[in-house]
Amino acid sequence: MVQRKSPDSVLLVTIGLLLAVGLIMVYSSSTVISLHRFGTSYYFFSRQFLYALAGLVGMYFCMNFSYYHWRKLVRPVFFINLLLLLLVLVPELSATRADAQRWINLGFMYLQPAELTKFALVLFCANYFSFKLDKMTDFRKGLLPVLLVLVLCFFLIMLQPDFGTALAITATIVVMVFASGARLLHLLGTALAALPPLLALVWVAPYRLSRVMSFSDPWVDRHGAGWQVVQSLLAIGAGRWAGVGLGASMQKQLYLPEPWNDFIFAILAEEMGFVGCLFVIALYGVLLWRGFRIAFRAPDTFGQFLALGITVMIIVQVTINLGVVTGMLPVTGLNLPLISYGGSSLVVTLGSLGVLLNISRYCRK
Amino acid sequence: MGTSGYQGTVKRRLLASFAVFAFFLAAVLGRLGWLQFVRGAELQGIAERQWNTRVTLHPQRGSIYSRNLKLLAGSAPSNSVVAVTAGVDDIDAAARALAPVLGLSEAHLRQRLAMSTREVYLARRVDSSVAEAVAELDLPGIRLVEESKRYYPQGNLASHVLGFVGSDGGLEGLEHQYEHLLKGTSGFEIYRTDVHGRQIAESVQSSMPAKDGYNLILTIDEMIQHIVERELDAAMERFAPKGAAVIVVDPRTGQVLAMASRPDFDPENFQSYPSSSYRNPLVSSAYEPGSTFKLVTLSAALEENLLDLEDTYHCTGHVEVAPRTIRCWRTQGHGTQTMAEVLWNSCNPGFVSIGMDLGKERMMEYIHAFGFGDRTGIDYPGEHRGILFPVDTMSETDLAVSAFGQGNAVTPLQQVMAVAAIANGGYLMKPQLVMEVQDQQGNTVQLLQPDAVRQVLSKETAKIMANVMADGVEYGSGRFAMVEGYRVAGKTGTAEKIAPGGGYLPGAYILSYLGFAPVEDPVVAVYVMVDEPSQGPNWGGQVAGPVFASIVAEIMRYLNIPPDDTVSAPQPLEQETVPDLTGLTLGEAQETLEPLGFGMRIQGDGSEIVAQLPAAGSEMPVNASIMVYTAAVSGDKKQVMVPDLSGLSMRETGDLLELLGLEFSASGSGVANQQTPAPGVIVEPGSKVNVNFVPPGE
Repeated sequence: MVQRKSPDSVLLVTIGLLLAVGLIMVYSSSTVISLHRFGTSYYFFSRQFLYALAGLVGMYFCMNFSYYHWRKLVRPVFFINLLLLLLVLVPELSATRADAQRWINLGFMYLQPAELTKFALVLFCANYFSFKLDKMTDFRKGLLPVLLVLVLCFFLIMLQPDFGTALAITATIVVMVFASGARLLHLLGTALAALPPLLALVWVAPYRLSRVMSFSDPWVDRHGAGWQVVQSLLAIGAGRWAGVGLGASMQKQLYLPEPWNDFIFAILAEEMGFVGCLFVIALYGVLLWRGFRIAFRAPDTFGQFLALGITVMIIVQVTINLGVVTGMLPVTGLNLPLISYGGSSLVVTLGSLGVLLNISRYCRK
Repeated sequence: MGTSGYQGTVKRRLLASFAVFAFFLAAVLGRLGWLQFVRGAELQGIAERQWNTRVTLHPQRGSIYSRNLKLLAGSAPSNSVVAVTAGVDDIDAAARALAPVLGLSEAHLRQRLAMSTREVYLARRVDSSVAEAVAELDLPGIRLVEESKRYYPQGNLASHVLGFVGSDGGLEGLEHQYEHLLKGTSGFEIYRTDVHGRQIAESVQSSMPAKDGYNLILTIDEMIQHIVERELDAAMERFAPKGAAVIVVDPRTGQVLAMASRPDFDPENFQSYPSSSYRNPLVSSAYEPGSTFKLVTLSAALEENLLDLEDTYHCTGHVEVAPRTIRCWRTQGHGTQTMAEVLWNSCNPGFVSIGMDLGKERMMEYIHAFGFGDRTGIDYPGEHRGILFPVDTMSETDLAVSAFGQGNAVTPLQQVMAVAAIANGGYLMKPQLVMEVQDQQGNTVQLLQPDAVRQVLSKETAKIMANVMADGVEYGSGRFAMVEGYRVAGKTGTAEKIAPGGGYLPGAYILSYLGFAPVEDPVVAVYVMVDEPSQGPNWGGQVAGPVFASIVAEIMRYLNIPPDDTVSAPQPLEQETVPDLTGLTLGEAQETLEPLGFGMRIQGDGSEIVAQLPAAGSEMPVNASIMVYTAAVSGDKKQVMVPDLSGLSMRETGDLLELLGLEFSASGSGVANQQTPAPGVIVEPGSKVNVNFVPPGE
């Protein structure tokens, strides 16, 4: 192995800035409801702050934990992931919210196994490709095993169900498979084969259908299914150039339900305006750039695909979340990495970024 | 590594993936730009509308004071319960919670809350305990709005002057007339709410405070108003009429010092009174004035130098005005009288003669000059202008009846202003109720000065009229209005009500008295009317006259007008209760009446009294005669002698004939002047007596 360097400082600063923006926005968007419900304006902020600390500890650890050790941990991580995905389905252990069993109640926090699945699958694929890169043009020997593992995880997540996360994971793996050199014809065929069952999933769940329908024109049912999207658009529109000012959002006054969650970016757009949006998207752009740069320069195929998978995992979710918030995609229930409130997501994301930073320490010039 | 051959593909595909994600981020940025710049204003507008709530701030209504600065109508702060409909998220829950607090049905509240208007008033001007209970519920979208509540500390006092206020402003009286000054200007407040309609602290976007209404200071003198109200109540009890009304005016300024009417109402609870009681007949009703109008005819003739008061006129009891014969109320006529006596006797043929001398142009010119046929311009709503004969088309008969007060319809207000002009040296003043308008700080906004309309009579004519009227009170038919210590001018009137389809309503009289005091230097002109008295005497002089006298006497005392010792006490005013004489012999009746001072007139040849007039229990002046009726033929009670009915009113005639067991058939209206069978004829019980009535004089 080559000499270890210091990690990618540009990426490190970018992560720090996004985390800071996230903490500020969680605080700003939640104060009103937090005060109303819990008598303190810091309820969500203090929790997120602790999650961020935990995540930073994880990131620091991963940053210094040589990434190639992860190859030995592929199977344990994957099986722990499968175990958690099964455990979350046990009613006694899980917390049901909005008719979905997505969280394991740990007493002090809620663990969202699907967040771990992202990393576990990315790790699995990176390891797989490092052995089978030459077989990837072969459908049965190269592609099919990856697809089967993906379908297994997809299936387990849909038992919760969590369609949004399942789709994000699929998109991440598809990009990795694409980069691995799989034939486009195979990918296209697989996509065509996957389309009917996906449409069926949309069809059987009325709320998914109504989300898709209201996406086509949220204003038609602005007091019903289109409410969230319309309120999001109003928040963004009201932000104009420079925003209404930090903390001055009106849409967080319960017009947007749970504004610290999936629609936190709308509050940011309202308070900080286009300038704030530009800044945050630019940060994600830098993250995208540095992530791919690390993938390009990684010393081995494992590191390359691990870096790619981690970067894509985050950017896919960013893209889908922003697409939903700006009304370009149907509502999926995905949060905005590093900014939205949520412990599991933040810890896994920061840990994954620690791995990415560790890979950067071994990059070629 | 053996995979280096594949690295080319991987790098190409990495670049492609990077490009796709970079494009996605750029697309999101583009979309944001479109939303925030291109559609920014539109979306911001929609957002502002959902954030902002506008509520009306209500001004406090101005107060009304008497000229002595006693509060007559005030406003107290009070809360109304308003639903901001957009903010009410659960109509059923809100209705359930509010129903017991507001004392309204759930169904009603549900329906109100479901209305599409922005603000719905659920309950107006609620008690403070209710307001607190509503505040405690803290329901989304339900607000308390300050809205002043009207109260009237003097109760019914001057209710017709003041009027009342409904939920959307003044509806009657001065509350209505001066609505624009009293109500003030409402303001507004735009504040922001959360999605449940709860106001966000310190979120007022813009506001305009409400501007409170102006205060009014009336010309009404609270003490005089009290005097008038008390006397009206006494009159209502004594005569049990359909209604009664009094207006007191300062003849020098036209300022109304008191105005009251019965039936009246409590302005605070006006809904619990019939709407007919809101009507103020003094201003809003026009009817034939009767004899009071003779003052206009006589003044005109004096002003035009057509006669002297010493000129004489011979009344034969009727006068021919083709195609009609006009009868004097006194069938046998008044004989030869001076012009002053023509007025005191209220002799109709005499006035017909004066009217004929004037001619219809001059007659109508003076009627108009005195202010009849036009609104006086009083600052009070619903004024009737009266209905006069058009001078071009009026006939000789029209002129003849106009001269003694028939045919033309006028308002009591016009009459009191006309007599005030006589009291005021011939100057007709414009009546006014409001003297000054002040803002809430007590600064004068507007001073309403007395306004002379025109000079109707010369000072000399006015003086002569005042004196002849005063003499009439002392020597003529106006004597019931004498006031000890003061020389007063006055004239009685008996107005007949006109049926809706035309013609007169039989037996329906408005008895009035019109005058001023003191004659030398008048300070008040007073009009008293009593509408269809149902008990007691039936003559204008005997009903309205004493009310006038009591009011004037009290006002003179209140105003500290020094009495004139040369004016003697009004003896005829002493009254006694008429005893029950039925069943007594004539001798016994005589013994009963003599100590009381009453005289006795007998009809019939019997010895036992079967009927009497006036009825037992009536109050009568002690020099009056009581008519007693005996059985027709002693020993045979089956036969009845027809009594002499002349001069009796329709009611008295009916009462008397019923007592005697005779049937009654009436024609015409007014007082009886012809009858068949003639007086003294013996008839069977149950026989019909036909009686013709003519309009009375005094």
